[in-house]
Amino acid sequence: MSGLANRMREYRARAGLTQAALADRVEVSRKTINTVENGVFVPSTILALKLAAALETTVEELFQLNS
Amino acid sequence: MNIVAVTRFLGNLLVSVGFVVVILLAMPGFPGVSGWVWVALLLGFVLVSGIAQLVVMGLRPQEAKTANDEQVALSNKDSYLFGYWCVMVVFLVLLGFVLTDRLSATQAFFFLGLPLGIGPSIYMVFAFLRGRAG
Repeated sequence: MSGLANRMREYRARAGLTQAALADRVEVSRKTINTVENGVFVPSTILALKLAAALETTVEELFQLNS
Repeated sequence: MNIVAVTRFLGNLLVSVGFVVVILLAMPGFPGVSGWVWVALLLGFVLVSGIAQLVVMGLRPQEAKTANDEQVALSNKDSYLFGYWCVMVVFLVLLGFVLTDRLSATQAFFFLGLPLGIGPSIYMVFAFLRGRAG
């Protein structure tokens, strides 16, 4: 696990998107969305910004450092 | 299911399984066959895999984009590192064989090239199965 916590699943559910739909919006594979949600893969700044925009929130809301 | 990712997985599987079958079963089973036949066969696996991936990427550019996202790029990079360490380990084993006269330098050179091809492919097969490659 990475040192990065995220609320992707919560925000994605709030937006009514499936992993595949979110993947299409940010142009990555569904598996990448899955591994980011599960904290297995740490996204780049660019992907984090794209995810935040697609979920209509901010990067800080979506990702937090594990304390 | 992303067709480009699946083609890449099948291509890597072909190279991994093909190399193992040729080296462990075919080569010892047919000792009279020229080494160049095996080289041609192994290169054929790599070529078929590469051409199939290029064709599918050309036909499905949008899927190719998502199948080559940043997680796959990272897995690819890691696969080359894995191949490098495979070569390092095999080099030491082959060096031992050459120094003890169990293998000629020419044969050792041939076998040294194999982990370079098979290492990254095996890594990418497992990366796909773990959800880290498309």
